[in-house]
Amino acid sequence: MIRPSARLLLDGLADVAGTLALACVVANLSTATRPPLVLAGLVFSSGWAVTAALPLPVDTAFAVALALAFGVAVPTAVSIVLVEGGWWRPITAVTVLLVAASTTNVFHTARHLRQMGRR
Amino acid sequence: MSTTVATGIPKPVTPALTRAFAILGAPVLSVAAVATWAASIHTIDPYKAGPSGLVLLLPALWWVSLALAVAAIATALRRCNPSGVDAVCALVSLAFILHGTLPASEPVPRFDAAYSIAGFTDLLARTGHILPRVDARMSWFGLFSGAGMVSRAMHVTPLWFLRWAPLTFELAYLFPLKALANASLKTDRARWAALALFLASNWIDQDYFSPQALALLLYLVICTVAVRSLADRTPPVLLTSFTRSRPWAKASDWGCRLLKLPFHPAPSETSINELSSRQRASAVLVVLLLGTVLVVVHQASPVALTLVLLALAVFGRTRLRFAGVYLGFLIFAWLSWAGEPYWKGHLAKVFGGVGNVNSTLQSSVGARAAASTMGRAAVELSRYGAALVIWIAAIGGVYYLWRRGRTTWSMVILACAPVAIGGATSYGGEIALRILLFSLAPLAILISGLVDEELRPRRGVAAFSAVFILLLSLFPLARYGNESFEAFAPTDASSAAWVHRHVPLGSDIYVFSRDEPLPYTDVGAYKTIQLGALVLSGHLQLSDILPRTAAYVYLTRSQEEYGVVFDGLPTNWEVRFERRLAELTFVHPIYRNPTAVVYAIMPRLGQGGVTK
Repeated sequence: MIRPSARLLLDGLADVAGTLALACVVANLSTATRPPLVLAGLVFSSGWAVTAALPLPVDTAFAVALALAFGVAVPTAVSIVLVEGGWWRPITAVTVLLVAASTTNVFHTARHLRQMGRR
Repeated sequence: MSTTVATGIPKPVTPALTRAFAILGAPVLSVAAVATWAASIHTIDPYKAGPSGLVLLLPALWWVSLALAVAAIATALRRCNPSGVDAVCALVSLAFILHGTLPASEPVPRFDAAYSIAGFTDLLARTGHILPRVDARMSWFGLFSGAGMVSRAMHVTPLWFLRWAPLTFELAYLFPLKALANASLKTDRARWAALALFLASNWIDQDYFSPQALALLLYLVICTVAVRSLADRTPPVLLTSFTRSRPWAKASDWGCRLLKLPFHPAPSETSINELSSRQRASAVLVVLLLGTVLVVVHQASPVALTLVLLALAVFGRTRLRFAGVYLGFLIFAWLSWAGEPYWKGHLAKVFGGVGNVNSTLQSSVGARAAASTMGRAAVELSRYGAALVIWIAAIGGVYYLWRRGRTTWSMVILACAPVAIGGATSYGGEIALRILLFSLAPLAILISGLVDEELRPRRGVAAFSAVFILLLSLFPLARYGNESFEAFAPTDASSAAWVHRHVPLGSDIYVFSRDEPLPYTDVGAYKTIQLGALVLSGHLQLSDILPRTAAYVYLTRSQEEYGVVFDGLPTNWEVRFERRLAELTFVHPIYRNPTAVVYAIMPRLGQGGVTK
């Protein structure tokens, strides 16, 4: 199963990626690093927010696979709802997604740190 | 040299170099492989590729980098429990060399289909609307809307996704593949070996920026949940009563004796975790949620997944009894509702080949077999050869493990169930490729059964190494074989940009084939009409064929190569066609660069033209 240190590392990556992506979008930065940061941040941050909440026994590879799958599925599902609902606000939707994912990931990180502290 | 310790037994002292190699060998070889590969890239000119593609243009340095990557993998996997760092470094270096060569050597993204996908994504990004009556593929708009939404936040056009999509997807596939391998194989060496084999065997070129590439990721993760988190070993009652029947007992007894197989092999898969009801519910929810998104992303992938889940349920390999039914219902619902423009125009295509696995596969394979030159024939044969090697090696892997008392029936089902998609849909010539794509991950795991023993199995390692080297040898021909016409020169791309800036929206544009980069934006803005073999017509016939109303002719290097390599036209067909166009008073060149030309067709009196 996924080691606590690996889980914490993934928590940290998700926190950092999500925060950087959110900063790029909110500040509307125009840099060459914005595209890969926003993409990686959105995929990994939203994916990990869902994966870390799942009570499934997983190893590291399975956890990252689930994070990648949810990282593409969640934005895709949101975009489908926006298209079908006729309310196309892509930047607002991505901002809300990143805020929700980053907040959730902070809670996951705090929870996992508490669990490690108890051990 | 040795030292004597307190017990008096001499302890061999490993030379420092050997110790250093044991620790750093694989990472150092991996870095050397990538550095050598990077140095070789600038010497590759993809626009000089001939009918056999890029393989004859690969410099010696490229092959050296591949050899170094193979050495890195061999070094990493020499132990039964390889270091994760060693294996990851070696695999990443192999991925860069095999799947990064095209993006690295071509400054402009390749492949016309990717530009069409970029165009759909661009439309969604700008407007949030789909136009399924312009192109029915937009009925499955999951990728287009998702990527369109993200591209707006990234502040890029969807073209940004195209160039490095293949390498990104290949690296992403390795995670669910590793998760599957962890559940199916006993040793770490075999688990990592499956990943290396997958990279070497995925020449299929469906990992470009496309719905099917994204769908494969979701497909693999759902399969992993089905056979791992929700694994089952209780065959259904019907299957049990069949396998306990006398005819089956006699047949299996005879078969096992003939093939010298043990009668009651143990399952190779790891023992089943007993999940709590909360864990089981969350696993089922994962499958249902990801499967629902998959239905809106791609047409064929949910069908393959439905078949796989049904097969796993029938053979008692998963606790997901009704997920296949749920997905089947969703597919039908989406096709009926949002896919109406698609099935209205393609009813025969969707259902025409149902039940006809043999003819669908034959037409798929046969159409691809037609080759106009020796180079082209070599490319097609290398693809057949690679597919044959993979399937035969997988059968060998199953047999090898069974001889040693273990079976991997879940992987066998995952590999074989997608074949039924050939009979479930009429997907055209691509179906054989799609079947291989869905089967590739489990096939790689089955082949890795050859090295799945704690003590290094010499025969198994020799067989696995032979398969791996053979697949690597065929890879450049199979994967890079279309580069003469699938690569777009920078001037091809700039000509497309010129057309979008200067040709009025709504115009008719005549092309030789759709192998051009025009559709990356303004979807539906132009009516593109393919001339095909009409380009060989004399100038008097051309005068009748070309329309009397204003239109344009757009020719690129990629179309010229496509005509030569794929359609068997003479090598100078475009020059001769342009000479005949020059003889027509109503046709004038309005744009030219080294690889592309645009002609304007002036309006004339009367009727005439070419229909698509």
